[in-house]
Amino acid sequence: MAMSAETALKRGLFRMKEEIMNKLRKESAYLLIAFAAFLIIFKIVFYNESMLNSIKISAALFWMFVLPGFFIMFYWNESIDFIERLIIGTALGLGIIGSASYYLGIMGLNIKYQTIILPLCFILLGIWINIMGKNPNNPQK
Amino acid sequence: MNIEKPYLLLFFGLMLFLGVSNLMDHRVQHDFPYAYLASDAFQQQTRADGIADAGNYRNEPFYIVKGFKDVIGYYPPLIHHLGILMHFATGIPAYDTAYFMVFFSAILAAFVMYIIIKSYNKNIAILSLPLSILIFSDKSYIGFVWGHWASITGQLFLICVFWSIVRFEMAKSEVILGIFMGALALAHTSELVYGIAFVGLYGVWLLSNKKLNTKFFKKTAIAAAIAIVISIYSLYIFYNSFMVVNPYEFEVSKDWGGTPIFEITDFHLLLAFMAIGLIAGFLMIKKIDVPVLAGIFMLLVGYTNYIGFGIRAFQPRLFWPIYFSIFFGIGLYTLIKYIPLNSKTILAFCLSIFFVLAISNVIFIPNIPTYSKLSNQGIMDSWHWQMFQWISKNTEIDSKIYFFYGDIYGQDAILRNSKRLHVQVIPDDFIAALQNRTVKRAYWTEAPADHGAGFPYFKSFLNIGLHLREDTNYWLLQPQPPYIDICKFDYLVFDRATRQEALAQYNLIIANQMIKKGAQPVFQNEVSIVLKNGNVGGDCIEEGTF
Repeated sequence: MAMSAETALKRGLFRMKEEIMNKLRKESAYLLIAFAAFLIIFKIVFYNESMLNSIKISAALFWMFVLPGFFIMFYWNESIDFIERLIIGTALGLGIIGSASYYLGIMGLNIKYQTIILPLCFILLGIWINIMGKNPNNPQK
Repeated sequence: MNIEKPYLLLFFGLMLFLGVSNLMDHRVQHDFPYAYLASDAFQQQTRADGIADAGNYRNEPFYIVKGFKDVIGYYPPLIHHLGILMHFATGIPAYDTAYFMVFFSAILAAFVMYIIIKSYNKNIAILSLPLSILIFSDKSYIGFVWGHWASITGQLFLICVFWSIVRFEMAKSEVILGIFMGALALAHTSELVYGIAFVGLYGVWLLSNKKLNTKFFKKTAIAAAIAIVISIYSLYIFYNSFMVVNPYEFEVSKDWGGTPIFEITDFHLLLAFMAIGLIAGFLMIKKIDVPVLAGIFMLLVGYTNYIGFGIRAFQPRLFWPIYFSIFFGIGLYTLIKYIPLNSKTILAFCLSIFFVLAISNVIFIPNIPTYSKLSNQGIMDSWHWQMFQWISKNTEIDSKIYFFYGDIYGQDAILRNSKRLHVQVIPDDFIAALQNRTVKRAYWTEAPADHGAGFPYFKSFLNIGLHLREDTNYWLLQPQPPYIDICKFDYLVFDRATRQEALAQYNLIIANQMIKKGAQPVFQNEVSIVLKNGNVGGDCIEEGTF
């Protein structure tokens, strides 16, 4: 029986989402390695700093800037390699989190409450963009 | 074997070590603002602290703007917010986290430039990397320790704009360009001008190569719309405050108010490689257009002091080692590409490591500029910090503080750490009074503040007024230097330890004359005494000679 166009589209989208999720899982492992490497280097470089503070600084940098930028940049995963997305994504994270923090503060959300909410929103936004958005760099999908 | 990733990781660690760790005693958290070497650095620190205290940047902390409590937050806010977010996330003081984020931004900028160059040629990128270390050479380092933090963060996003242009053909790249432009506007406005000019220049470049099409205009229009949405509020305030007080004027400026200026000749011998790179870059410009255009553009920007940009021309020079790394990389690559070797990449890595060692000062090569090790606790010390903390936590919010002579108070933004309306004695009159052996009730006094934007405030919706222009009768906006009655102040601060002992002794004489009239010592440590004025507005001091 011939498959309807709608079913084919749904299957195609499902396969695409699965591929994205697989790649995301794979690159999450790279991110973990990058975090571990960053933490080790940080602790070596700032050898007078406590281990607890080193972990807090590394984790805060990754949570607030690296991850939001990375998940948004993942949209271009087929045209930009991991290292480039990691570096540009971190700069993007600084830009969007810093800008959003400024405006949310003015609108009444105290900056102290933004450290969890803000990165989480942009990480979820990044995931949503990747799942919902059709990557135009890969027109065959 | 791919050694690029471990090499980049090591280089990142090296930059952190040379630039930040050495300066900060190999730790991030300190007991007081550490390695702050100038007033402007304290200007950034106290603003970050003030925003953190308020939880937002709706208004400028009143102690930065002569006590006006309705002044709109007018300074480019991005770096402060990054530092404050790190502060709240880690519990480390904002004066440490904000400072750290400046260095993090600068190091990230070097890596973004690496990525830009790598998009064209990996070997050139590897060869270009070592030059970035020179952002921690003497004149560039000034930008960090003297407080040009906003410009440094702005330049990170300016380089990100260059990257966006490299990737302009990529689908939806206009979104990233727009975000970076918006962030650039919130980071430092003058770099935004350079960013816009560069996009325009790139358009002209495309036109000259017959590649300019409607797609370019469409994408830049979308990017501009995104950037405007992100930055419109901040730019509106900037346009109605800073631009009113400091309108553009054509002038030739060769002086940066005593700040050492990075000159092209400061690259010394490396200039030879860079010159080769510049010539080769011209020849290869169709292949490596964006980084070469960016390098040339930033070279020209560095000389806009001759057309009226003044300080705004000198600040981009702080990052010349990053902008010009493309020429250094191309120069070295031009020299090695004729060497008959199978793997140019290995040679590129070896040469890159050699220059990393040379520029880091590990191996000595004459006439090569090197990293300048700076390890210095800075202007603040634990005793003054203790005094400032005491004032900020134990005095009434509307208290007025008078600072008598202190060695470190010349860097006047440090006084904002009192978080109270403050003034300080002008040393000339203070010393004259000492020489006359007199104790007076009124001294020449200044009220240090950030006048740059004219103290903007909202008169009504979208209608911005300037206290500096409108409230000329306000007691702290009188022509300087006025005699101000010290008895008007609630608390008076006297340093008991100064480089010239006579000044400290005179401080103590004045303090004693106030104690005779009822003032109470409410705080004291090894370097400072704080007196609470028991007779505010009355006869609080016994005038006379000694």
